[in-house]
Amino acid sequence: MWHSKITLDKLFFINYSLSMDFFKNPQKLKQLLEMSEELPLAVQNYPSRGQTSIQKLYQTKYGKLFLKKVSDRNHQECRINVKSGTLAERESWAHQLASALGLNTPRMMLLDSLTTVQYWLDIPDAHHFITDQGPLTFDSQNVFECACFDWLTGQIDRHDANYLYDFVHQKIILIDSAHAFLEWDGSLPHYLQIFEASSLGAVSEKQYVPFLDKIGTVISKLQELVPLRSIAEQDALHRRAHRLLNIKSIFDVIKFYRKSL
Amino acid sequence: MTPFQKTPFKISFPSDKERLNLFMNTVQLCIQTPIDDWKMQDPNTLLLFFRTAPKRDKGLDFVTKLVDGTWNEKRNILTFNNFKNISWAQLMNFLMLSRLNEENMKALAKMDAQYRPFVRKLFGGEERNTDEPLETPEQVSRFIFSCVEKQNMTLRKLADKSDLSQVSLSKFKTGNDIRLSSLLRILKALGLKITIEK
Repeated sequence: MWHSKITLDKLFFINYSLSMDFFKNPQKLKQLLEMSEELPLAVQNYPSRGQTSIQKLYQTKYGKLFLKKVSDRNHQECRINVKSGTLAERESWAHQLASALGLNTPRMMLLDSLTTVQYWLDIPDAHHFITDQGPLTFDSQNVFECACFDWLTGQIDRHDANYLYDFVHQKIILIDSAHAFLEWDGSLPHYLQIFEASSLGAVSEKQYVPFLDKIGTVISKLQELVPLRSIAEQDALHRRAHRLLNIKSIFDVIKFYRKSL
Repeated sequence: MTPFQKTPFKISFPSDKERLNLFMNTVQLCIQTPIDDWKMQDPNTLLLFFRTAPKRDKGLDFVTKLVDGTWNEKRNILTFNNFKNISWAQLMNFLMLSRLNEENMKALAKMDAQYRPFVRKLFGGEERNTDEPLETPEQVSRFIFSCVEKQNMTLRKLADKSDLSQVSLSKFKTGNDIRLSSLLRILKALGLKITIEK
């Protein structure tokens, strides 16, 4: 008997279909949250969400939704140009860009300039998987897509708790992508560091990914998808996008970070 | 001693309070009903207090089953029995990684034998979980002849139905290798189907 399994793609699709209406309308989303039961995030210490000022988890009829409000302190300490885009806006734009590129990230909506609501996935982050269980097994195409995305967005905060590890399908899922779209380039994501160390052959393999074609298409819509208000940040985003057009392998992305190569 | 060590550890309140807190955080992450408080009644019994009666909380049902829990419905208290005899480090990892999502739990059991007893407890009772991979001829043989036994089928009847000799079947029963075409005939005779997954 062949088992039919709900893949992650289907899961996102189901969530997307069911929630189409309320994820388009902040008022409907607020109403949905008000009607839903708030779940305890943890009794005491877990999960730690750093400097986020408000975080709430809701059980709705469409699944768990996570509300996150960023704090002034977070903007200040990370030197975020709020006039160009708050952390919440940046996270929401990162999600829009990921969707346009066909990259699975938990569906998200900007509730106001400081608050986002997103699907909560019951999947461990990479930190927990590595600590509790063992090394990650990667899907190189998935890593390639995530690496392109993180380079494009200039992500500066992709540590091991900022991506989930779906060990059922052996894929990583990027979360907490708010620290992005700055003038300077991002920093080498954690998963790329361990992928390079553990998958020597695959790092240089040529990737045939429709994703690269999509980057070409998305460039013309960048301003619409990521409406940064700073010209310098816009320029930096376009510059990074154009550099991606000629890459072929994961190592090509790693080279962008190693400026001497 | 780290909270993630693989060997069972004993919790003696209050010196291991921090470890107990960590465990309770992990439980809370997997269930919907808010935990109000907890208390070690004695070294073998842990009590969990809830503000309200749980409503349709599949995670809590799973936890209850995993720890041989008993409910005091009047007071909304869940008692973890045999606290000393459970490998809490393993259970904590299991909860943290699977979040008691069925697909995650079964994948974990496939990936790592240490989690199989938990999955058996939840889905398979004492029987073998059908999602566990069969990786050697001996495992396939054991599985098939356990099905023969359950169907009260004699070796002769199986030989008739599969059009194989009793000698071949006996050899297979003792763990010898078998031709793929013969295996498929046996499966057909028993009404079993094979699943191949990447």
